Amino acid sequence: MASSRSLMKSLHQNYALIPFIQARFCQTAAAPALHPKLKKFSIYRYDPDKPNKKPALQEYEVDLNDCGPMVLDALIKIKNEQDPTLTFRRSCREGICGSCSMNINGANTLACICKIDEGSKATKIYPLPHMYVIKDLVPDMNNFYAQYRFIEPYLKKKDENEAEIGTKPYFQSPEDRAKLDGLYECILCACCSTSCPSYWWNSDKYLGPAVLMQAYRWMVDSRDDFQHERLEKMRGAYAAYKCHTIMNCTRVCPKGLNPGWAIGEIKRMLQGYGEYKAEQAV
Amino acid sequence: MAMLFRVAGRHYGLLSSKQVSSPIMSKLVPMASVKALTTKPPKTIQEVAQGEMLDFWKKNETLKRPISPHLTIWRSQLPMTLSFFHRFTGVAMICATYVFSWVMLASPVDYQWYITFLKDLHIDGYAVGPSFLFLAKFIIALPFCYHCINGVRHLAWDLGKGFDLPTLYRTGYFVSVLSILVALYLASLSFKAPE
Repeated sequence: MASSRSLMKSLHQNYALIPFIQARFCQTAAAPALHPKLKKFSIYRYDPDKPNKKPALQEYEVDLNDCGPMVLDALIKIKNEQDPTLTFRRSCREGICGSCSMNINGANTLACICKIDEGSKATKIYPLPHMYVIKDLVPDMNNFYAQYRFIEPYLKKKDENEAEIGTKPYFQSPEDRAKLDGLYECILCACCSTSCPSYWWNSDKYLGPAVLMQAYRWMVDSRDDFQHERLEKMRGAYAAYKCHTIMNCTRVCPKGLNPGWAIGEIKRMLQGYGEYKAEQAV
Repeated sequence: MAMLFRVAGRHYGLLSSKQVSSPIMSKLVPMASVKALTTKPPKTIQEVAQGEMLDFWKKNETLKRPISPHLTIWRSQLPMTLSFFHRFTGVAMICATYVFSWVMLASPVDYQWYITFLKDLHIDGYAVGPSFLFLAKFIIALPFCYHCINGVRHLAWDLGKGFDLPTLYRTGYFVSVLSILVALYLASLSFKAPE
């Protein structure tokens, strides 16, 4: 009894020793000397504090063995370890906020869900195409947001009493709700609009696929009463008809949505709308 | 986010001034609406948005910010390339028609002379005439065939069909292959003068 108790006591005193021994030996045994898997990244750089210096590509090398699988992981690693001046937007790191949209290897995507291509060619990273660059990979998105505000992306009801708002729900059948699927999931990352050559040449007047898809989303929402007014905004040569069905938008959407189809639906709604309006006026 | 839009919507035009008369109702209506009665009507959301757009252009032009690269860095993809060729073939055909008409107006000989010249062309003793003519016919037929058949694809889009990505690629490949085949067939046809 005494001997077992003293044995327990000695083990208890040395209780840290056994795990320590295990850990120490495991440490040296388990770490294989991995050959660094280096990957080159060519990243667009522009410094607004040196406006006369032309924007240029800068190359960085990252050991992929020590890096997460996505391009955003590499960018953060570069910023942490090699160049703290590298500037880019990021937030959720899971493809839902839309902050890290940029052009990777020639196509617009979200950096946080774009897997690093482990081939030998350098990965080229540019900001969203044909946008004013604030710094490095950060474009000025204010025009895009103003265009979104222009289409009034909120529920509008006619003949509504100010005091009644919020007192009762606006009912919607499952069929009507299904019409919003594939439209409401837009995260406004601007990958589609900045992939559209028509938007490149006419971003002042053409609204772009992202905004047009949201305009369509509010047009087909059965709870909204202003469908005609929303459609009226689409008439004219520029708002919707500058879309020439190039379909780059659908190709790059990181959420798998189809803005090109939505614009096609707007155009179909506009077919014959002129005559309908003329008949209504008479 | 949705709440923000609701509030914005309320501020920008849903207010009905008639409800503010009773003392009970005035407690329910926010103070901002009472002030709105006496000041000028608020800007419409379109005006606000258009003001923001103008500010955007002014600010960026003043700061002389560079524009990020577009065509030079963009990786071409099939739908985009086909759309480009649709426009390119359309413009090319119009230009060719104009140029052909002007050349024929200015030319001292009629076009039959040119055809006979090409047909009888010999280089180093080889009769290259027929192959030249075939090539010329193919080059004329291809833009026309491609533009026509892709035009059918465009019409399908106007009906709302074929917008999803797999269908886009399938119809794209189909259109390109079909237009080459039809152009080859048309180029191979030879005109036989009636006996």
